[in-house]
Amino acid sequence: MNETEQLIHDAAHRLFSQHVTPELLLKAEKGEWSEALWNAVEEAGFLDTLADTDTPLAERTANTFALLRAAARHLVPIPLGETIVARALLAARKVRSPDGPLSFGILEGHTHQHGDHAHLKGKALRVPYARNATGVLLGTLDGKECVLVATRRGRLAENTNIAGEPRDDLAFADTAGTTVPGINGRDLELAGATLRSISMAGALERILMQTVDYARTRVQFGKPIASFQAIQQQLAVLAGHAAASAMAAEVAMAAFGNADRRDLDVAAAKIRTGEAVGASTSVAHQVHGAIGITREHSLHFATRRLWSWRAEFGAETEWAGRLGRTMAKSGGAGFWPALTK
Amino acid sequence: MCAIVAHMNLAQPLPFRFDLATLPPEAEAMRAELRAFLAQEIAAIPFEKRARSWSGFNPDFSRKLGERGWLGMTWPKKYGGHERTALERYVVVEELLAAGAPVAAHWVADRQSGPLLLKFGTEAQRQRVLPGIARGETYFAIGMSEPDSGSDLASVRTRATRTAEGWRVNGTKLWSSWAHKAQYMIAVFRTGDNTDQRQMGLSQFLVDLSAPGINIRPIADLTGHEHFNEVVFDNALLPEDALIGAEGQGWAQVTAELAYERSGPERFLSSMALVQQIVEAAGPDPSERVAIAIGRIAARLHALRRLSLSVATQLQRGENPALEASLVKDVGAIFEQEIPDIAHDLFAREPSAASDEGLQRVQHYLTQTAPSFSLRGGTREILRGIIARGLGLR
Repeated sequence: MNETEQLIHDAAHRLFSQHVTPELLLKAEKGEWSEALWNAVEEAGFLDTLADTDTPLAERTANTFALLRAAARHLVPIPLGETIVARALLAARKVRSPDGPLSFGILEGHTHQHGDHAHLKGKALRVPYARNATGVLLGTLDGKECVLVATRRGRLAENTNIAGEPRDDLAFADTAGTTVPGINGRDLELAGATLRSISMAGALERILMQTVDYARTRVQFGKPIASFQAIQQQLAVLAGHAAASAMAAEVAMAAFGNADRRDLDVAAAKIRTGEAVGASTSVAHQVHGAIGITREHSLHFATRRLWSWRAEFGAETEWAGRLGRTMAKSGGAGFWPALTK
Repeated sequence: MCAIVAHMNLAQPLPFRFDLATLPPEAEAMRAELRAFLAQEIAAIPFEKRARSWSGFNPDFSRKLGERGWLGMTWPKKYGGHERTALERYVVVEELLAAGAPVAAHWVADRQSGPLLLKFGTEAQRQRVLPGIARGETYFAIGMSEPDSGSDLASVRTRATRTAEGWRVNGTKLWSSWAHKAQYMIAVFRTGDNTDQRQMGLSQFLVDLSAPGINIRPIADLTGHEHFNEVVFDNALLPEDALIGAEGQGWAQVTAELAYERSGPERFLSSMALVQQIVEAAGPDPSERVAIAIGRIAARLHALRRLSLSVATQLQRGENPALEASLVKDVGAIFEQEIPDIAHDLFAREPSAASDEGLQRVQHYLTQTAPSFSLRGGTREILRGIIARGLGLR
């Protein structure tokens, strides 16, 4: 981390440590909007970390990774990544961002463009925090341009993922919105997969730290269970998954806005972090024993989110199928050049 | 109980660190030249031979690399080196491995023996061997394991005793790859008294393998291939100046040597020949199941490569990323070891040395050699023990 990234890292952890308590996470899971946390994040100036076009893109992506990795370790229950990405995409196309939380999703349906204006019809399923967002960026996967629409113009059905995070369905009969030129549903899908990869990487680091702490303090047979090789070897496996996931996620974030790199980097990140979830949560729960599967213990805040996030914005198999088909086109001799390009 | 999380310091850095590293343009620029060279040199080598990669011994090829300036790349020019960066060397190494080039002859010498001598060797030792390594003519074997010392390296018993004529050595080194073809070995011997601290009293030596009293017996591996050896020291006499570094500092030096041994991309590219055969067998329009498997392989390899590059960058800065190297080697070995099982699962073909298909011939070799990937250079259990220590568990 350079100096700016370190400053962002420190400021983010300070803010999140103060706000994101287990009590806040429990309230959020019951559907309560974390207003004070949102206001603090907004005041800290975090929302334009990726949007500020005066800063070179490479610096912005590095800063954003530092911020979102911290947010992921704390499991912040607000659409921070979604808003940051939406504001950046809008700023790049010189479309004014609405104030407040934003989100984005894939539209199943169609859009009709009329100059700056567009009409959309169809539904967008499992849109993160749609109920709290003032605006949502929606795009179809057929390459047509995205539309920014005020959330209140759609019909909203509340839903959640298994960790209680809002994942709402939106339906549009024939709704007017603003065309966002040069961005389509695929861009949103890539951005969503990048965000979930970073979230998974941060949450994996969290369960590694938490499980190491637990193993060092839990005493059985007269000594901390950390002293048993069976435990040590399992935690080493978890560390490997955490390290590979964080690296893959950082590479994906660095590829934001880079058309040459992003297809490979984002797919690889979503696959690698998603693959880490099963083995890693298994180790974390196994080492924690029965206490780790109680509601009162905080381990589940991370593990339940991980089980949801690996399926959001494309599961490993979807991304792997797509990446595999691309790589296969290069043939055996072309595989390595394609991987290193 | 929820209080547990409130006390957890989520801002604390992890004990391992992998900064995002990108190859500089001058390193990337080397790929084209290497690929052109390799296309010419490798074309005639059958796939199953390419699968041997850094177990493929070919002095002619090593000499050609030396002529091109691709050995001893980072060393000072006065020792025959080329004063290039570690990242330029990284590109050369990964291109050679990905192509399945037969690099075994010079591999140990270029990777760890030369760097070790640069760090701890005497001026005379450096001048004697480094230029030959850089020319691709001087080869090294590793002298660490013994019949009763595998993972427990500190238990080595081969003893070097200082006498008026030089060092008298008695004992046996085991699993020394290519000792029967190499000119030198860097060996760790016991020189001090047996004390409670087993790591004390060890020293490293530059051993000329042609010295009298050294008997080298190749041991066939389970495929019948002879690469590793038993090296018996029967009252062998080494000159006074064979000692590397300080007497009694062997443990610290060997630990530094292992960092070179464990950190490179050979720790996850051993099955590249089979990865390429899988992609080839899949064809340009694979089934969903095969496409998913290839996508997963690509994703894992991509992450490993970026981790490895981060380690190379730390080495370039003069840091000692021993924990990071152990992590990459452990995750890398799992990956490269799984490839034969993935190939079997996808295509259900019998491994066969006599097949017309490259896939089956490469399967034949790699299915049998994959178990070694989590043994050589430190077993999986030892690496995970190092990781556990890094995590503060022991």
